[in-house]
This record gives sequence, structure tokens and C-alpha cells, in this order.
Amino acid sequence: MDSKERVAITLAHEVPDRMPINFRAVDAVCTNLQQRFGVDYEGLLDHWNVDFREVIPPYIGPKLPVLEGGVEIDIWGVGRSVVQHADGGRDVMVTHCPLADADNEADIKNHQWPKAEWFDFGAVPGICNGNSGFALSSKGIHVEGWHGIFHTLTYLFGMEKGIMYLAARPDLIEAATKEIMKFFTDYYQRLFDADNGDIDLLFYKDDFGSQNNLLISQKMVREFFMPHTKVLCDLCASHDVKFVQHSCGAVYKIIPDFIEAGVAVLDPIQVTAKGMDVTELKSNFGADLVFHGGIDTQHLLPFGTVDEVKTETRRIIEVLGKDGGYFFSPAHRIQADTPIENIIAAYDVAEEFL
Amino acid sequence: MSEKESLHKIADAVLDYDGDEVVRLLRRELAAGGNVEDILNIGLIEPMGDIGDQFTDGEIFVPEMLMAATAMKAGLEVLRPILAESDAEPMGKILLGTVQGDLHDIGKNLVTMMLEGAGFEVFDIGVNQNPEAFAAAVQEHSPDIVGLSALLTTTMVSMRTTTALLKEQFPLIKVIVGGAPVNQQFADAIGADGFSEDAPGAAVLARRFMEELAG
Repeated sequence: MDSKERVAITLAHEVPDRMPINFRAVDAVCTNLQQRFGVDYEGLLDHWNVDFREVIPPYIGPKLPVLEGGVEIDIWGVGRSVVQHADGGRDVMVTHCPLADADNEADIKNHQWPKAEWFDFGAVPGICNGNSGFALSSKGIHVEGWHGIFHTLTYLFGMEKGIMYLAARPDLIEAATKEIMKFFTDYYQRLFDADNGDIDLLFYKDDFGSQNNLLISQKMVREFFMPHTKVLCDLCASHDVKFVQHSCGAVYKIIPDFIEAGVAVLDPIQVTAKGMDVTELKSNFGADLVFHGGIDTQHLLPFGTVDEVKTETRRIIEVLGKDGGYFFSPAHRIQADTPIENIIAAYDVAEEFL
Repeated sequence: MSEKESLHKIADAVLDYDGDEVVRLLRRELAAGGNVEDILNIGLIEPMGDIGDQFTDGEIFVPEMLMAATAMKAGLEVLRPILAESDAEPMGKILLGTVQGDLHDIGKNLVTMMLEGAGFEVFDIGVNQNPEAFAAAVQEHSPDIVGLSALLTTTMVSMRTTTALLKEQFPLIKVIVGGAPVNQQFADAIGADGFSEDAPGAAVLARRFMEELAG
């Protein structure tokens, strides 16, 4: 049985030959592990029997400008500054929000929105063929992917306005959402038209939860976001693709909303957030959802002992993976402070289940 | 309308997230000779306490808290010059920042709003601040309390070194920490004085420390 079949069987809520496995980490961690095993990135994925690969059409759009001070503009017109850390690491922060001063729908309409034709979908069949036998996902299951509508709104308007306008300026939110959705639907339609039916998953990333609660009310989730999730889920369904909803944080309450919209896989199962108990999740939603993630990157992997990592990893697999329905993965991209031995311990346990 | 009643109307406007109405009522109150400290305490600080409770209880969420804080701030801007001329003292002075290596600031900004809403004078030194920058800012502003924020696990170590440096240089200062990966156990382990799991809790904690410092 190859990876693609294994993942497909899991998505059909049947039990495959073994639990499908994913891996995701920041670049520094990947580099350390590659050195440890003497392999390249692809070799690292093979080393841990990773069943997933990504299909990322190359960018061929207009050259994206770099503003004064090194602010890199992305396809949405959002600018990020690179911050170099003393330890050699690198991070980016949003420093230019193009709709920060938008005050009416014309301001939104006149913004330069990204276009799907800025991506080379002609390259997609080649990428798919090169990863034959693997379960294929849109960008995001390994690397930083497209952000969903909620994230994108906060980048366009600025974090505080992006959140506050849901209550204060729904007119602006709706106008911007319409444009964001135009891009998403066009991009994914073209991707799925180009892939000869090879892509299995659309990875969609928004964060509706904080550590303790939802960031916004369930009412707002339903009003502003779920209708669009449903549109994308329907688009997936018509191409035999499954929709992966990523949301960090305490999102237990809105899981039924995800399911109703058509979400098939829930990521990343942040077990340290309030109410995200794996036993409850499995028993209440296991019939409808496949779970992806669950191996804690907030406390367990960075700060646990090897024994703690092994015990907890085994528990998560046994609960979430009971009768299938689980993709093994860390609950976030593993961060640079994580001891390599802990990562290896977690994947050693995963291997026990092969 | 009694003075108290008119002050409660300002509070109601904060609870209705209506900044324009807050400013209008507040100006009227000032023109009628209202006491500026009463306006601040009853008209702005009390409703922000209610907003904090509603948030902690899960009745409202971040958008509503931001709207209430914006309405409160509109009123505070009108009062600020008058407060500066009066001999009214702020509840206390607090310095906030996100620690080195961490670029996340929504959590810190919510704490800033809730502290301002609780009557504190807040100095926000921004994100990615190293221990020395915190120490220099403490030297400059002489706060009663310093608040350290982090989202990433990778920057928790920076909380530890910052707390150690501040405690070494300013033994009397109170240090409080917060952010997704942080908990009471970690706060205790690094020698911080307090931890809060949300922004309203930070305001409650800061008030308690001011009482302790006064006592």
C-alpha cells in the first residue's frame, strides 16, 4: 500500500495498513536533523516515512517590491520586515498593512489584489508526477502556507483593526473578504483543474482560538467565516479533494461548525489549549473528522524529558488513532528550541505503530 | 440628572462601544464642572472592569474588548490634559514589552488597553526587546511594575534572563509575565512576581501589587 492509498483510506474513515505520518518544523530544526541523519530534506521525510508532499505552483507574477528598510511586499500588498536574532535565527513581522487607512468600499476595491494567473499552474502536473505515490496537499502542510481569510484580514488592516472591524466595520470586512475569496476560489479552481486529480488535500490555515477561548464569538465565526469555508469545501468536494482546517487554540466549541461546512481534517489539535482534550475530541468528532497533529510543541517537545515525550506520544496515538482517523504530526512546526532527542523520541514511538 | 447618573451614562457608552458618545457626554460633564477624577473612575475605569469580567467569563471576545477599549481611550484622551494639570495620580506606572526574539504584540496590546482602562500609566516599549532595553526603559520611566510578554516557546528563556536582570538592578520592582506558553509554574521558576492568563487578569494583578506596594 503506498502513502496515497494509506491516506485515502484514513480519509474514508477506514483502517489502513499503518497510521499515516507527517513532519513539519522550522528551517533550523530541519537543518539539524538533516545533519544528524546525513540526508537532504527529502531524505529526512523518507527517513521518517512521511506520507505527505506539497504541490506549490511557482510564482510568475509581477516582481514583488521591497520597500525602504527592507520591507518585503507579498502578493496581498502586505509588507514584512526581517528581524535577525542574535542566535542567527530569522523571523518576519508585518510592518506594512495596505488597508490600515481604508475607510470605504472603494478603498478596498482599488487595492491591488493578487491574481491566480501570477502562479504557474502549468508546472503542477510535473510536480504531482515527481511525487507520485504520496498524498499531495496544497501549500501549508509542511511550509508556511496561504493564510485563511481571518489571518489575511488582520494583515491587510493590521491586527487590531482586522479583529475589531468584525464588530465595528463589517462593511469593510465583507468587501475585503469578497476580494480574498475571489483569489482563493480562482487559485484552487486552477490548481485542481491542473492536477489531473492528483491533489488530495487543501490545507487552509486560520486561527480562531487563543490559549483559553475563541478569539471571536461563535456567532462571528458563523457570520463572517463559515459560509466561505463551505464554498471552499464544496469546491474541494467537486474535485475529490479533502479540506484540512488548521486552527490553533481552544476551538472545541466551533468544531461542529467546521464539520457542517464540510471540513474533513482538523489540524493541529493544540492539546495545551483549554478544552482540547483528545479523548473528548475523538469520541465526539472522530466519526466526522480525521485529526492531524496533537504532539504538543508548546511544552512536551521543547521542555519534556525523552520518557515524557514517549509516554505522551504513545497516549495521543492510541487515543486519536484508535480505529484509524489520525495523521501523526507535531501540533505545530517544531520550533528551534526543541531538543533533537525529543523529536527523535516522538518519531521512534510513531515507528512502533508502523 | 444627578452627577452620579450622568457619570453612569458615560460608563454605559463605553459598554456600548460608542466612543463619540463617550466624548460628547464627558465634555458635557466637564463643562458642568464635574470632578475629573470621578469622571475617570466612574465613567471610564469602572466599565472597563466590567468589560474585563465579561471577557474572562467568555461573554465577549477580542473584537468587543478592542471596541470598548477604543471608546474608553477616546474619553481618556479628553481627560489626559486635565489630569496632567491636576494633582491626580495614576493608579500606578507599568512598563510593558514583548521579550527578545518575539515579534507578537496583540496580547501585549490588549494588556496595555486593560491597564489603561484600570487607570494605570502605561509605557509600551514594543516587541523584540532585549533585557538591557527593558532595564534602560525602567531607568528612564521608573515604573512600579514591569510586564513581559511572549507567544513563542523559544522566547521564554528571554523572559528568564530579563526577569533576572531586572530583579538584580531593581530589587523592588514587580515583574509580571504572560503569553500563550507561560503559566504560574514557569513564572515561579524564573522568579517573576506574578502571572496572568488573560489581559483583564493582568489588570487585576497589577492593582493588587499596587495595594501591596502602598501597604
